[in-house]
Amino acid sequence: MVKNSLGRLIPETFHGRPLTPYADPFSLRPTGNVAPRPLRRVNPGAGKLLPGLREAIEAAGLRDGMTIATHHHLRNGDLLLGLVVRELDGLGLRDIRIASSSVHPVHAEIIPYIQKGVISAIECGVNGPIGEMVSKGELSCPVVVRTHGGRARAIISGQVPVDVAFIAAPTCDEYGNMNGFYGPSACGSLGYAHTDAEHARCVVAVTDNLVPYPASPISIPQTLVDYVVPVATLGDPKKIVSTTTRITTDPVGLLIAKYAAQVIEASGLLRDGFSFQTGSGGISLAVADHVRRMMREQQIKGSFGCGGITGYFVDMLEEGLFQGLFDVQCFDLKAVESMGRNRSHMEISADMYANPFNAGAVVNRLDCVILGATEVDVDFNVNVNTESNGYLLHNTGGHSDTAAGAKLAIIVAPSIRGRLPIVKDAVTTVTTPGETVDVVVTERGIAVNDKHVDLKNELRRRKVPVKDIRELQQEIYQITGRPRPLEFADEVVALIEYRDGSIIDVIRKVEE
Amino acid sequence: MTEFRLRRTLLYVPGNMPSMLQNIPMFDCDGVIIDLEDAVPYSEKDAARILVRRFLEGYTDRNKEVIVRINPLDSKWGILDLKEVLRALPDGIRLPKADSPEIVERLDTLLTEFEEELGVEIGRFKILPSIESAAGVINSIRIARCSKRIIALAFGAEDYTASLEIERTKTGEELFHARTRVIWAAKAAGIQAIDSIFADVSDMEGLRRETRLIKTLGFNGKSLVNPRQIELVHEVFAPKQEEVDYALQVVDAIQRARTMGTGVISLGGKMVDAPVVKRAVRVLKTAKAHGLIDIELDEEAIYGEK
Amino acid sequence: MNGLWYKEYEQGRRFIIKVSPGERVITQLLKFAGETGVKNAVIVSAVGSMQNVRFRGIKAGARLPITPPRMQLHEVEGPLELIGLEGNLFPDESGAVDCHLHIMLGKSSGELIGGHLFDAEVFASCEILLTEVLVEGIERHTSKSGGVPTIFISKEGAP
Repeated sequence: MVKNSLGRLIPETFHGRPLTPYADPFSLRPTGNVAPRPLRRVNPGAGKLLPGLREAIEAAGLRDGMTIATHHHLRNGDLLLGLVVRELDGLGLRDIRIASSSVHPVHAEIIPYIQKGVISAIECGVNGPIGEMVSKGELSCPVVVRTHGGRARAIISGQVPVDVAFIAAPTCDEYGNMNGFYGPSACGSLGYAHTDAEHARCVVAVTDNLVPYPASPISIPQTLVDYVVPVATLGDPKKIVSTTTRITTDPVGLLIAKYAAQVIEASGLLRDGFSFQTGSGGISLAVADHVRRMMREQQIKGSFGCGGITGYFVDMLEEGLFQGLFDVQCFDLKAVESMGRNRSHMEISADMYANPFNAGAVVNRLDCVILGATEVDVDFNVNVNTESNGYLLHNTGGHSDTAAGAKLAIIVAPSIRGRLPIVKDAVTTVTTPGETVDVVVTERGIAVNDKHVDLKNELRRRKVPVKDIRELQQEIYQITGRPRPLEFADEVVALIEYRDGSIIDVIRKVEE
Repeated sequence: MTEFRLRRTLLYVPGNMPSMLQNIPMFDCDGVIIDLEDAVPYSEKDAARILVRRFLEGYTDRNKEVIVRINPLDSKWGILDLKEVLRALPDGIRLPKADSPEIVERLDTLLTEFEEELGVEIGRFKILPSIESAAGVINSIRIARCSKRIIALAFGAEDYTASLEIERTKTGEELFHARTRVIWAAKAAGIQAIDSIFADVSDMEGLRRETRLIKTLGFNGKSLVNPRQIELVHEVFAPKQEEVDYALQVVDAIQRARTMGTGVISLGGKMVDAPVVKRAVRVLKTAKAHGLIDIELDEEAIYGEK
Repeated sequence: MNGLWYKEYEQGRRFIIKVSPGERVITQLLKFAGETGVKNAVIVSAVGSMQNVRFRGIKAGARLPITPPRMQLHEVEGPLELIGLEGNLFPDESGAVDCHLHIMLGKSSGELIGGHLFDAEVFASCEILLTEVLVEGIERHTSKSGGVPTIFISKEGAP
């Protein structure tokens, strides 16, 4: 065990893998080259169409101990990972690693196959029951939680070699050209899948919307795709994208949004060329609404919006408030429709979005990002992976990537979540280091990282309720009381990998 | 002259909802009315008043006026409400169904009992009577004067229209006379007048119309049902920049006049005397509350030494 | 003992009193008592007109003792017709004579107002007929329960 720079105890190895403890957000430099993959040749006349997943798995030469990947653009409506895992089991395969871009509650269906030994490890973050069971020690399956940028880095660098990528393609032709804009399982951008298509040893496109050649537009081209498999359905459209994302009506949420907007205004970043990212949560959208109003009033011409895109950002683009949108993932139908319509609404890969080990990701160009938290602490470290019960329930997403990249990373969170205080002495799990977090906004006040003396003074001048983070913590404790610390066993069940591959924290088994 | 206090927005908060009570310090309204009456079902009356007391005991950094709406005194809960919450020292009590001066006096004398028992200053607890029936409107003139504790008359349009067996409309023609009478009664007694709630939270335009109207009529503020309404009401009540500029000139002129030993001066051909000064000071105090100006008003320089 | 106390008294001297405009009724009555040696008396009749009158009512719902916060103080400038003045004079524990008077006043509208009198000035005229009360053992004390000065009747000297 060694302590990383945030004082978290990190084991020297995890299931045979030697670990690098986290030191700081920026200094770790990559060595070596982009991972190679075999050259291929497909001659005229040769087809790629296979009748089913089983044939594709066989054709791809998948063996025990290998690694597969899917993408999570179909989110909680995704049926593909379950289909693939059942086929693996049907073929008697064991000890397969999953290196998808994310695993969702719908994938609880693979739990029996983990217990059976078909699946032996998960090389990505998990949302929902799998993480909870792993935390409780009810499921033996090492998990490595990665950021969106970190996953791209891990695959491109060969740290996590993907043997077969199964890419759910909402629209696809028989030669493998695909996009996500149309079809019953339309999800918009295929941002997470680009890395898989470019780096997996073998690429299988799986579609429920086989269109005559050529599919248009082309997000992922035929040159990267080995096989095409038609299936009856890829997912449940109702759960793939929400029909619409809405601004919160909760007064506390609105107050938080108002304060966050005041922080943005006071930061001086809101000027021509402003770039901005929010999640799809109600508070984030309320902040976006304020930003939109301010941009209109001050006639600001923004540069871009990025990340997961909502109809809200589409409206801002169409109104001329942004020059472009960088879309890794669509959050609602309006965003999906916009991609098929607006040329300046651009699909980008997770690599371009957030990978720290390339010649520069989009997050590096971000002015301001609005992020959530399950906990923050007095050092501004943020937790989004575990709840205060210690269970691993959420994936990191682009949280640490955008916080590191943006000039102003604002955490918005209600001060009390389910009777528990949001600000703690030390977060249960560090997802994002405090060094990259600039402001924490709650309805009870705003805490500004000591790095930003000017911003703090400017906010005070504007009579925005700035408080020392410890003062804010005490105020919340007066209402909630001081929560009892959780009891953890020594056993490490999951890693929280920072975007550069170093280990920022680990998840230990919860002592019931 | 009663103490100048902004009461543009008095937000109702249900007394039986801890999640909403704990947010009171954060809301940007001038005051809150913690409700033990209509918002609280019969089965929760007891729990709610204990909850409200505990909340108030913990809410030591009072950054706004705190008023508790008790159940009517002739109900079986009214006195129990007082007994429980007064210990936690709210600023005042909103009395529902204040149909006659006697009803309000009854509360006044009860408050005296409690002040004596608690050993706090007599007259500390203020009263906000709800004028919410035909009788209340008729008697409002006497009600306004029946106790020194009364800080304002609060008009309750929902109950008032029910008592008249008429519809409450969005345009409010049916309320016009009652509203003006309540305003007269209040202003004649030297206190404020607070308008009714606007129930449709989704209709911000309707709220804006109504707020403009009641401001024009002379109300000092409104009771609100949702925090989302606060900002809009403040916006409507905010003094316009030209009003503020003129008020600053008036105050400046009168201070010059005082140094010259007179209480009247001409400003741009208009005579500046006491009523004009009074209005100017009110505008400036309101402007200050809105954060439009940041100056300390020296009352002695403005009104002259006592 | 059962909430009822009484004592017989005899009538003493009878006086006609006139108070000039601008004078205070209570002040003058006490002055009169001092000069004549009247210790106990009852007002039989009073007419005239008054101004700057201060009297009180008791607030609805008030409990004992009647302290200032439980009273409603009325100050009426007037002038008003003096329609009635009721009350008596008895010495307090210090032996000084003390008045307890209730007043009725007519407004220009013909409406009446009135209550426990604190102070009134004569406007145009004030004519009072008063009878001395001959009795022993009557004193005015502040009642602990009532909070106001009230007469206490001792049985001594009773016929």
